[in-house]
Amino acid sequence: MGTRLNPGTEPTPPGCAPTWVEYFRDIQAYLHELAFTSAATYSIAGTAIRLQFGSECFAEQVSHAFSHLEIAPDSGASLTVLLHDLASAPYAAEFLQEFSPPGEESDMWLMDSPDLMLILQRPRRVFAAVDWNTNTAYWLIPDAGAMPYLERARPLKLLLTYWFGMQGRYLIHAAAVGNRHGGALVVGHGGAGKSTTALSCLNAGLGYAADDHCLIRLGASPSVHSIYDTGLLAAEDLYRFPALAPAAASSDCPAGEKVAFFFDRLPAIRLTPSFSLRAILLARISNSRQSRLRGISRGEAFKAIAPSCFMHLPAARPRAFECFNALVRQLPAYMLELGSERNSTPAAIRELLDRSPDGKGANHAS
Amino acid sequence: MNAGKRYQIDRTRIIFEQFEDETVLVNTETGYYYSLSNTGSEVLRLLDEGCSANDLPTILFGSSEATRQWRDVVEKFVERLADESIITVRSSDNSNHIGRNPGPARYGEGIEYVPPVLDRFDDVRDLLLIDPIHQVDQEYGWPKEMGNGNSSKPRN
Repeated sequence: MGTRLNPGTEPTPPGCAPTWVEYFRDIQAYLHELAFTSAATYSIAGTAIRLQFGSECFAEQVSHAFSHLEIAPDSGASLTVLLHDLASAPYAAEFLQEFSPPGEESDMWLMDSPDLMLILQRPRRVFAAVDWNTNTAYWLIPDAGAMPYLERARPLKLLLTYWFGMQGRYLIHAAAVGNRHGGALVVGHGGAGKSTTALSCLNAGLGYAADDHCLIRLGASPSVHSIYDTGLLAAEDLYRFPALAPAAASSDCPAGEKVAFFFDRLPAIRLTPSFSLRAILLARISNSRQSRLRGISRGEAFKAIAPSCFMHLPAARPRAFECFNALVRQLPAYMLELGSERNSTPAAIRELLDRSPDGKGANHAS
Repeated sequence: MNAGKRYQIDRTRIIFEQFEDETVLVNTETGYYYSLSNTGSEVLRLLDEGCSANDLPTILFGSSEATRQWRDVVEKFVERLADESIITVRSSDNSNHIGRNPGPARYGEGIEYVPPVLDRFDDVRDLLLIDPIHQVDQEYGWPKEMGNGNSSKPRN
């Protein structure tokens, strides 16, 4: 076992040292030679994604975040992701360690072509790749056991963002909650109250698809799709949600970080995989006691959504922009003025969703 | 700034959308995004149609006293659009020459002119600077340590 890996050198003339692509093809062949210890398939935005783990440690670190979307293992997958670290793929050590380009330590390097996308993030030497021809992706990191706390709550975010972007489903920085009548997308800058709103809704019996990152799919009617079975909350706000305490991974939370909830720890909670969208809510903390909604312009809503374009590959940003533009043109937008009475927030959202689409009275759809 | 220059929106890096009351623009490279309000959207549209900064006051105000009053405001606004790389000088005069046949003035005669406003937002840019993306081409070699003479260079 073990293809010998020869690191490339320069921007190479043809026939000389291996290029990025040639070097990757070596590592790709090697990764396919390796066994995987477990696998699971998840339905994300209606698409089957199969994760093949190189070690049980890797599976333990990643699989909890997707557990609400797990489906039968024999479901035909649109994307297969091979996940390895240097314990399960030891010959890849040279591949990761040789990566030392000029520039700042935190830079990300991207090679994006019609056949392949290669991403290297230097600080932790994370390598991700997608072979578009075979719909196979690769996630290679030095040590799965050392995966950062927040990444365990949102694993594979970059890879999923880029892959789904190519499928016309765009990651957005937003929370998503709802009920049987549909969902509301809650947008706003960091600290605006998205997570608190989403967790308050979950506490109050509304459906919860996401607190911070979700996928948007346009169509006859736009929909929002859950990715992670998790949530994040500032540690000082934990006391507000005692019922969710068993889901909080507090013990290994680094100081100063938000605390992650892993909802698979609470069998009574089942997140909602998707909602048909009814409204966009721009969250903003107010001085009022009661939370309330007031209509805002599409431009104001779009300003809150447009920055999500930058979560996408540079080449995909215009398409994400078009998707978000279509979204604000199809949905009514409201300012969600968050009051100090936490329970008033889900009540205001429920009242909005229960209205008929024309805004006149109760919605009696089942 | 040469007020006679003709400009167009730099569509190689700017994506934008006009709403009822404002235009939202995103510079896909820098991470800045912008809101144009009041008459800013109209000025941008006229520039993109080929009006020079010289033409704009006449188109907006005719030959009235207001033309002189607002000329500086409009010119400074155009300069700001250029400084932010939202507009770029046209490589050839392929405009529709609206400035040569301006038609009736848009303002005056009871229609108040509200100066254009350009708001810039930089919260995303800060994130991009923390985690910049270097794009490399397929033919590049595997990047290695600087100083040993065999490092690839990023395209940007």
